[in-house]
Amino acid sequence: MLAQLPPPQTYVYSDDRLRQKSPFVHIDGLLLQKQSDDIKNRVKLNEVFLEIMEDYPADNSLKEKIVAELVSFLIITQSTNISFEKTPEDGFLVKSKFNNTDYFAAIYFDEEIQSGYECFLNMYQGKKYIGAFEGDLENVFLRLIKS
Amino acid sequence: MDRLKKRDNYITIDFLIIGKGDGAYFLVRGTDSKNLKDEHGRLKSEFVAKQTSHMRDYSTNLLGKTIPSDLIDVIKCEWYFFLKLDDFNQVQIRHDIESKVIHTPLEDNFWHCSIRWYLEGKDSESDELSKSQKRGVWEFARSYIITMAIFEEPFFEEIPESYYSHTE
Repeated sequence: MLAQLPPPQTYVYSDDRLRQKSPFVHIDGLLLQKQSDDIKNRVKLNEVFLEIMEDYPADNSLKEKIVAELVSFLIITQSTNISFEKTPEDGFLVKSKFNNTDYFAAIYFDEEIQSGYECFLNMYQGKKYIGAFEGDLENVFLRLIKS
Repeated sequence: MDRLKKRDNYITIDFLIIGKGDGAYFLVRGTDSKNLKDEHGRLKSEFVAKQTSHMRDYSTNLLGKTIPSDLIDVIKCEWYFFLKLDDFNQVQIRHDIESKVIHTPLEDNFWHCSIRWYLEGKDSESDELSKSQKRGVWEFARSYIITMAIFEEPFFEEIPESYYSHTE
């Protein structure tokens, strides 16, 4: 099954530093296993990724990193029906389905801190509020992945 | 529209006396587009508020004496969504954030209400909160409204007359 997947270089980041820091690269092996039956998801994520990249210029490495983290997270969770919406103040609303349940995450970024932007995320399952995650970007997404 | 104006015997509505489950009470908010829903059936964020800071005093109308068609005349909106009063009136919506509904009558619309947000008991407009804290509350409020918005006109009741009038 793994042989059917597109090669990892499908996802190209211009900054090598980002490659090292993003969990995207680290999870590649796991990702391949998890995604082995669902190439469509990855195609969709690629589309979404490109769409967002149009909104955020490539020279903005922090924003680029944010996008990389978001895409990584969605791949890891094997989410489907993913849609992104930008709020008027550069937040993201990410809506997706996982195990036939609707999930909704409202993400926004506050002042720049040493380790990147401070990230805040409020998450809902259907109409039920699940919880808030906040901290620097990597922290938030690592906690999300573990939860 | 005279029907919506304050009358001599009207008093300010104290939403604190309206308990959860007391009735099928709803708030209604007008919008400028009929395409309110995204592909997931949730309210699009742009129809919650244009700017996050607009969340501080979130303008709505109490459904009852105000009915959706009145909004066309009073606030010039042809489309609307609904919020259940029970989801917003004195509700601890997050461990540190509470919402309250406040009666804020206007000259031509006695039924105008606002939803206010409190972080650990402090009004989100308060000078005691930092800019970041305020934004945090308002961003959360936006996500909560996106989640709780209702698109079909619900079965609704009017609040009892004694809640807004001296004389029954």
